[in-house]
Amino acid sequence: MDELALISDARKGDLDSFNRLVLAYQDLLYHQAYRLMGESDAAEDATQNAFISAYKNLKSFRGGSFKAWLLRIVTNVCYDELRRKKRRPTTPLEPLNKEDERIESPQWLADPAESPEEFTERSELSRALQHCLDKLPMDFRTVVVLVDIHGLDYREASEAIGKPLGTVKSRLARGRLRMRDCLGGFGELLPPAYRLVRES
Amino acid sequence: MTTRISPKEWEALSAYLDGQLSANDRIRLERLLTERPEMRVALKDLRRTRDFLRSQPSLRAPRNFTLSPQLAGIRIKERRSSFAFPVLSAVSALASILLVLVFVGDMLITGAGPSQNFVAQAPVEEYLAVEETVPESFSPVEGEFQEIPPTEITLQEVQVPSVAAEGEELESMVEEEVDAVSKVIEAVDESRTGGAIQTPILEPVSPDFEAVPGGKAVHEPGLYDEDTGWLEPSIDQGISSTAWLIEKLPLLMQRSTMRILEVILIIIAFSAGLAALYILRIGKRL
Repeated sequence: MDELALISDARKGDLDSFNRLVLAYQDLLYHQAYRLMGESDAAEDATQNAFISAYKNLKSFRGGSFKAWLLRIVTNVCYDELRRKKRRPTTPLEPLNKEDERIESPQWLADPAESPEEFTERSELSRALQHCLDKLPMDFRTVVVLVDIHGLDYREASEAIGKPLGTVKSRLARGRLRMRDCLGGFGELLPPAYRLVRES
Repeated sequence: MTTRISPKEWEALSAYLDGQLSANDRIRLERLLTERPEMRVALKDLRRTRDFLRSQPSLRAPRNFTLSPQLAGIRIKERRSSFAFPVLSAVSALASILLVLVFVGDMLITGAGPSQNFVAQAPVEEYLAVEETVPESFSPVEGEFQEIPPTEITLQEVQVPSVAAEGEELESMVEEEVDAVSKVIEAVDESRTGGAIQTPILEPVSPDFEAVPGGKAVHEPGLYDEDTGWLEPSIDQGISSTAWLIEKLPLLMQRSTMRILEVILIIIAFSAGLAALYILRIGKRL
């Protein structure tokens, strides 16, 4: 895929070219939105809005990393949505069973390829990770997700958040430290390889 | 354990993990790591935390987020509607204002009141006034008419009540018409009597007048045109009506122009307003 050619065609109004870029980056943007928002529905909305915004503002892309540019857009969309939610808090609709109790692991999250034990472990770990991410301040969370979950280097992360490298370094270190403290509370859940030294 | 490590040292440890330290900083940190065991533990914890984060599987998008032309074209349609709506609204408002101005101008030119009919009432009233002067003794026999003393028809008896209310201009106009009628009657009298007999012979002014036994002349409803106010042409009325029409032609032309202009403005105002409303509703749906 010639990314630059697709971007150039998309800037001329070729929607098919832009949609090929969408297909290439939709997993990344959705994952980023999910880790920042913590909800799949909200992440879907944020991802769709981010792509619409990207298409409308494609002319403002002035080269560099297209991935970082897209991540910046979806991050800003998530920021806006989280700020809006803070102003107008809502009660999320949780899946309930027949006794009106919340279902911890909804059926549609299950992966039929894995065993029940694996699914339980994965979902528990995933929940622990999301719990700790949710407790991070938004600025720290963004950098941790960009660098440690998506594997961006410092320069790309700097482009994605629009801040200097020093800010990325600082926020990442403080974010990791808080994540370490938070994950220490889930010591039994973590696989032995990831258990903290001070816990063991 | 963490209390003995400063934030700067945590930042250096984090950057060291990612290979982001400069050579000097890296050498300094490595020396600290050999000297301070808590630093080594902190570095291990940070590495495990980072590895745990990186071990998480990447989430897949639950659906495709490709844009449909509808999604991508939202802004284009909004731009179109946002351009067309104010233009159409302004056109509608302008046409409405012009309509009011033209209407007021029309009222000022023609005067308030029953302006549609006043031009036609003059000949009609005149006609009826002449008709009403026929005496009770008028009892025509088929083919001939009873003679009436000449004093029965005078200018003073030709009353045009509605014209008097229309102002001096119309009054003078009607007087001219009455003069014309009386002259025609006199001319007819002279031609028939040779000037010897003073009494005129009344003839039906129109073939549509029916002589009623008992002395009353009745005007058939079908003779009077409700729209124009004109009587069907007859010997006498045809002459005076034509003259009157020629005299009033410019005024009639002016009023017709005004009417056409008013209709055009009404159509523009309504159509532009409806189009603006339609665009507004379409824009809201988007």
